[in-house]
Amino acid sequence: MGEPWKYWTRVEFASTGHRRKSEVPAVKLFLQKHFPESAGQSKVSDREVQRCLTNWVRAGEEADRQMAQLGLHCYTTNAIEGHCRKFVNQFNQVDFDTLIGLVLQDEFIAEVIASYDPEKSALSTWTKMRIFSHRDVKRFLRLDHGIIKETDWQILCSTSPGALRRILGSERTAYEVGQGGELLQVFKEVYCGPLMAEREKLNQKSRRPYPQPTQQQLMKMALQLPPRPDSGWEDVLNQLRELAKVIRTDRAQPPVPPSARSDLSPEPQQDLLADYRSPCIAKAVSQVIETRLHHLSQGRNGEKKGKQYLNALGLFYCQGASMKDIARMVDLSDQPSVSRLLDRKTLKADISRHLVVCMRGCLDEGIGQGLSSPDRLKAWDQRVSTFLEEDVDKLMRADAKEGYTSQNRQMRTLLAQEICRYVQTVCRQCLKAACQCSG
Amino acid sequence: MTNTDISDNGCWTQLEEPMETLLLDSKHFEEAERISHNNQAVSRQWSNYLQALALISFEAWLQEREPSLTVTRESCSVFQPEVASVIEAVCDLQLGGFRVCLIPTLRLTADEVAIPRAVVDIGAYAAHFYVVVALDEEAEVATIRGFLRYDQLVHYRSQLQPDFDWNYPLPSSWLNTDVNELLLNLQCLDPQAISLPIVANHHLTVLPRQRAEILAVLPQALEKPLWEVLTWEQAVDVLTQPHLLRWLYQYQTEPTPARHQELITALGDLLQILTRKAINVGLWMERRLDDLAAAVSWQIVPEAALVRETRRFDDQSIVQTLGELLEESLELEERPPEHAGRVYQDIALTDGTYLRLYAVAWPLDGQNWTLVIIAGARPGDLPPYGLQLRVSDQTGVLVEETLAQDQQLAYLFAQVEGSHDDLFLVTLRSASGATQESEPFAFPGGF
Repeated sequence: MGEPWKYWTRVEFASTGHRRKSEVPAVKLFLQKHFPESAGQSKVSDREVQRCLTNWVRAGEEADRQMAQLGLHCYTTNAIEGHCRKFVNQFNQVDFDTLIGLVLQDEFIAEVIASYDPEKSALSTWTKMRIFSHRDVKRFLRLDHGIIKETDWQILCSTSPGALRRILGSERTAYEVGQGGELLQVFKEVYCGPLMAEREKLNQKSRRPYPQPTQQQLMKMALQLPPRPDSGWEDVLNQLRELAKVIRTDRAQPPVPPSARSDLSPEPQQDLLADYRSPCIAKAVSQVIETRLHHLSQGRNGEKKGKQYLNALGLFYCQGASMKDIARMVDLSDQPSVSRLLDRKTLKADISRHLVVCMRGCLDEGIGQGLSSPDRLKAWDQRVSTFLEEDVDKLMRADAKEGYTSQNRQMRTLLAQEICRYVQTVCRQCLKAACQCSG
Repeated sequence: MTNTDISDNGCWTQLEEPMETLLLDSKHFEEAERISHNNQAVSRQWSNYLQALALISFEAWLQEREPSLTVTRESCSVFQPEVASVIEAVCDLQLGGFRVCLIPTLRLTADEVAIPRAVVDIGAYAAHFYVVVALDEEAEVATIRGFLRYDQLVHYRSQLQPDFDWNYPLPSSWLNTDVNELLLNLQCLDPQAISLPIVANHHLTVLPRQRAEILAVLPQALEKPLWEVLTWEQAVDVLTQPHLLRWLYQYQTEPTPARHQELITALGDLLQILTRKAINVGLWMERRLDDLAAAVSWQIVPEAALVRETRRFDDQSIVQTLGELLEESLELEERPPEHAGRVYQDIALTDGTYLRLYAVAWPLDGQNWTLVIIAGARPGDLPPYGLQLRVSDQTGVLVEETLAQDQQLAYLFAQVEGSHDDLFLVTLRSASGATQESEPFAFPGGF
């Protein structure tokens, strides 16, 4: 049973960008006419209402169809709000507005309703499934917060028989281990094997890479398993879920690797780096930023991204603008987006590596020897990195301390100056946010 | 409403450390799908697809981080369904002077990664770097989870027991997650700094002794995974023989039972070809036999001019018969040249059938040679009706003829052509089922 108002109250973004709830009177009248119990304080049967509304949407007369569609739309917006809220309560570092912004979209809602089958689930459950299998939601959670979810089917597909035996082996009888092994093998044969052919059968829009096994597949698995008292397809489904749960929660104590041998010879002379770093830094900086610009230009909105990147670099490294200000000035939604765009950690790593490459050319007799061993090469990279770190770490520490709020910090470090010089060369006007320079 | 819970099962987890991620888009997925469709073994397409996606992701990652590094796809296993179907990793990926092996996985939170034993223990599949690529198809994100160098992996191997399914369970925590170091190595390191096992022609270890056993068990690979069918020692021999891998792939992709029977016959021949010492046909041209041919009682057909002088009846009859047979044969596209090597042999099958077998070989051009086989009765005997003649090479059965009474023929003919890498095996089978195979015939290049 559910609250009837959810069918006539819509959650939406107003033109100001704020969220608001508003009643849709026509839908309210429509609902109350067809489901008289919804007029009072009492609850309605969601199952009943959702089934009727879906039927009208698919096969009703035009007037009914419109009202029913709106009713399902309202309900879905409420479901979206509820599920996002619940998620944020569990992971409170996730920004609610960003999350809901990704899915409180007419197009997404229409897709949820169009793919909804009232015989299989409740609309709220379906909405939840669609939210959290939505590409942008998963990307946002993965990239901004490192939050992921691995489905049972994904887990079963990528568990090797050997791994399963070890996981089960620790606590189960030999018989249970054998049963688990058989189940996994039959699952792989019936589900994973023909997966590509199965995917082709599914509708492109609503298709998921690892959908729940179909009833037909489960029945096939049941037939291939040795007969047991409980071997209906639903039991196979439960057994598979149980197996996935066991694998998921397995936490073995990782063995300690044998200590690596190191063949590091005496350190190269300190000042080799000092002598050559300056021309090499300039070269490394330009190579790495050019690569980055090229990469950005290949993606969606390539030209815009390239400009944003150059501008953000200029603002950060030349002007010492705060992340918040940069976000505003280059038209990005928030600080994390700027951080991700600048990706200073990778930038530093790439520049450092290019420095090593550059110096390899300059110092054949010095670093040249280093190339004959991974350990020596790593040591070289670390030395180069240390030079840069003095700069970059200072910068990063300053950010952390000042919480992205510092205004007009001057970046006086070597690397910052070099990046700044590069940006200025590429585009003279980039110091202003309104810059229209083309990367 | 059924009880089916279509809600997402499983719970959300937060990764402890950031990992190197890369965004994929529909063109990446479409390409991986296309590649996987080249694999005709439907049940292996998904695995091949993941390998392709790992490769495409890795390439895209290099393109983003270090475009000066590009891989050569040419020999990569992803595009060879017979390898992709049996080893769940991307092998033989060339990157500059390095070989890279990609291990696809769907999981980021698992404590261990299954590394196929083949890519560690078999030199032909070993790589300088092993890179674990985690694929999240729903988020359309790939993650370079970490890597290990060959020398590290071999060093760690002492602490790892391979699983019964031929995987090393590598603890994820042993992976080097600083992927920048991987780029650094690929960019700056001399490939000689990591020494890989030398890959020469693989020396077969158990195959020659266990030929019959392998012939009996390998066909079970239709219903069972390979690790259930073979011992690891047998697998090493199978996995290093491209012809056996091709056979296995063919066997798994051609569904009719009749075709399977044919393929099993071909497998028997192939195992003989791979494991038995071959007769050098090239020497016949110099009217010589190698020790092997002499030991199994092949004899040179004397030159016609010589025979006329010696007037030995036997020799005359042989020369004459062979000459007539070659003249009469409708199957022969061209007469053998004067310098063709001609040999013959009298054999007795176990059921008491006596046969005479002629073999004539000559080079066609720089690349190819041809072999003519004629099988029939010894002079004076009745034609051996019901006799079956089969000639195979490494790719399968080339000719299969039966001597039928109603066709008024007394001899069976077969002519085959091949390159200097090809070997031919001749099998004779009497009406009662008594069978004898020849030694494989080879014509090594350089003539």
